Amino acid sequence: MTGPQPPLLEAIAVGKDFGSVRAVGAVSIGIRAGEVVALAGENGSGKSTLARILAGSIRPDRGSLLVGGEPAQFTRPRSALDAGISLVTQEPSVVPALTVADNVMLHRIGRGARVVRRRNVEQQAERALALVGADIDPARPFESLAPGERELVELAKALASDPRVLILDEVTTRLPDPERLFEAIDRLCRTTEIGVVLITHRLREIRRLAHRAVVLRDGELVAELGRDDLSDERLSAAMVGRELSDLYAKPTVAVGEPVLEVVDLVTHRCGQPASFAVGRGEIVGVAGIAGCGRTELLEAIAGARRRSHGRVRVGGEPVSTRSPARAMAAGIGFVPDDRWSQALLADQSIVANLALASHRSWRRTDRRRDRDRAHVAIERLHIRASSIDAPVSSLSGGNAQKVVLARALALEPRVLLLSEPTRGVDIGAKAEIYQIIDELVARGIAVVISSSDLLELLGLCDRILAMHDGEVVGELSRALATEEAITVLCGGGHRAA
Amino acid sequence: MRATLERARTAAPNYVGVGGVLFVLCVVLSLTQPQFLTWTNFVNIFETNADLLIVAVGMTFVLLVGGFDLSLGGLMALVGIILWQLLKLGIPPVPAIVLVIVGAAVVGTILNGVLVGKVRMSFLVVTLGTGSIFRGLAQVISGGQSQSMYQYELLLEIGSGEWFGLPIPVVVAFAVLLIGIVVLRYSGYGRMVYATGGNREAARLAGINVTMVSVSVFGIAAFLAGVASVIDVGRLTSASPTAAAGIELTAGAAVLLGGTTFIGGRGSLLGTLLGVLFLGVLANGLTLAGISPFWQPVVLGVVLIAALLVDRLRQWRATGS
Repeated sequence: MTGPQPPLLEAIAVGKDFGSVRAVGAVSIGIRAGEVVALAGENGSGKSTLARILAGSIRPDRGSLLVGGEPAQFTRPRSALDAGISLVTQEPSVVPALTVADNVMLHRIGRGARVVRRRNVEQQAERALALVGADIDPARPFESLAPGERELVELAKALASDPRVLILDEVTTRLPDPERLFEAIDRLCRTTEIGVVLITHRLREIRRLAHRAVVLRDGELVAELGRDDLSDERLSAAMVGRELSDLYAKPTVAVGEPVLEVVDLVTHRCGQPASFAVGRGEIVGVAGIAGCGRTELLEAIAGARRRSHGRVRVGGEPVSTRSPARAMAAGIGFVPDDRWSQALLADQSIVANLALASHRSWRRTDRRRDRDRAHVAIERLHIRASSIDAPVSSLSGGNAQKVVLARALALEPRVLLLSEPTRGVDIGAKAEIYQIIDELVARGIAVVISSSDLLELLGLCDRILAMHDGEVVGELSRALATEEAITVLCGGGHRAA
Repeated sequence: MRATLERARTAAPNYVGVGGVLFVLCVVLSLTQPQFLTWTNFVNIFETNADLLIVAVGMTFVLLVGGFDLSLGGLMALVGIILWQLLKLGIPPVPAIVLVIVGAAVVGTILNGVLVGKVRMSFLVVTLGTGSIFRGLAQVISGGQSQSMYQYELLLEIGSGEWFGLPIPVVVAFAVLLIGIVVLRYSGYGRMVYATGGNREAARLAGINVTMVSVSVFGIAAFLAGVASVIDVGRLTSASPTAAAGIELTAGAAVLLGGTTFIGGRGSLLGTLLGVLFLGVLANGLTLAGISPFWQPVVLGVVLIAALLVDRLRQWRATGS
């Protein structure tokens, strides 16, 4: 990091805690002009927090930031923007009802009450769109854009404020065809003096784009790899920090008769019907890029999507998919995609959250029973909390996830549907969750796991279904499943039997 | 024991603020106003605010699921006027009263409840609209005139009679409060209300019928507005199309003062009681001290904003950002 020019942006021993959780310990990183630095790490390794510190949307508890060699303190997102740092995240930051041009030039709206001339705005927007190679009419309303175009507009929007450093946080997860975006990033680095920070958990993207990679684990920088060292093996070894085989020590359970049968299930927006069965003690994985419909598939089986058709049977008995309550009563347990928005009452205690599923009657609640259950759950799933009355918001991601899991298990399901069971969970809790899943299948529960983490699916599952564009496009047995094979199938490459 | 302490520490701050201010207010008033600390004065405070307490209990249910009901004042006026009409048509008082209260619950459930809870329209838009409809209809039916109803014995009894040595409105208000507390704290329905307000999606995926919950709270609020309206008609022995103007805002302010959050999921009826008491004691104190009652809304506004400001500051300190 000792070039003739100081780095565009440099962080020196920055760190951030959330409550008792150390998100980022003390990380130093510098970004120079014309380079793409990949920030790699598992979910929960602190890479998104670091990105937000660099972008000024989180103030670090420790350490300092230098912009062009000068100390900088970002008191608000605007001051980072003024310093030439622009962040693009997975969450859309656009106003859908405005035109493309208005969205691209959105940063100008905050700059005083100047008269806006539409022609001007559109010309400037067009320039930014050209930078990312997007041929989109700036006068179109943003809502009318196709998914792939939207991400390019978001990138153009970030570029329109003339940033010196561009931070891209998992921007490709929603993209059907990320290659266009990659070309745009490549071109930017060649033609401008911009520095790019690329945050991704996809090793392929790092190989494709990055000049070097910085690997984080548990909030600490554990490795810096140059371009020549960017092999999958080196990266994943650094990210995980131990042999993968330790993590997924699945004992072989004999697969029994089918417990869950799904026949011609059609979910809203996903055209093709899906049919499959899961046997006693079997773990079936569902792989696919975000937006491929695997989340919807699990939600439909769990009765959580209204407009879905098809038949679901548990133990041969038909199950209504009309409401979550009926699916639960039939023995289907469900752990949804996002624990904070879909599963937990953050303010409320562990007891209250665990009791949620038993509040379907109007009758008197049984406090003693609820509390006993909470004690049992804490013990069985090793949930670390100060007490069963602690609000779940005080728990770490892993422990909060175990509360969600415990609630699904409280109803003694015969089928367990897990959507992203270890997203944003530290490696220790991850191993514990895998162990719990192993114990469940040993007891004969049928498990379906939908995950964006291919290693997780490969390590846990007996079979993997690949989804693309709302359709199950292939099935791979444990013996045949490899990262490449799944990636090809999920990308819609070619079909396998 | 430790669990109880933990719960006290996390749950109490919701309404200790308004409780503290209420306590200070009571101490100041009892030191400066000799009439303040008398049984008659206290009964008087409760009696004048019985209708507000009843409406505020209903509003607490609505606010707990993250809504607000702006139609309650208009609904109360309409209930009073329809009661007047029914009695004028010769329907006996008891069935007439039952009819208007049940009718209010049905109208509240169907109009506010279904449109907000099931069709998922904005509660502000829907209840602003229905409130306007209710009050407008009250004007149309009554010809804009306040209607005297002193000739009905039962209404006089409701307004000025006593049960167990307490004015009937006070007894009814406390019965409503007590039932509300039991429902919210000890019934499955109560937990469903908190769950739906705290995280609608999580509650739905946990198998709770969130539509039923969000429809029903508007029914409860309308039902209680009906009860409060009958009590008001009894106390004033008249029904007016301009009755109960703005009571929904005062009730909402009392609920928020009592620590229930505007986004739902957190709060309690004990807090609501403290909020209503604070407003009652404040008005009483101003009257006793000979200060213009016009100051009351000013003080209410200041205390409301100050209470929420303190809450916000505490949250900032807790999250450290």
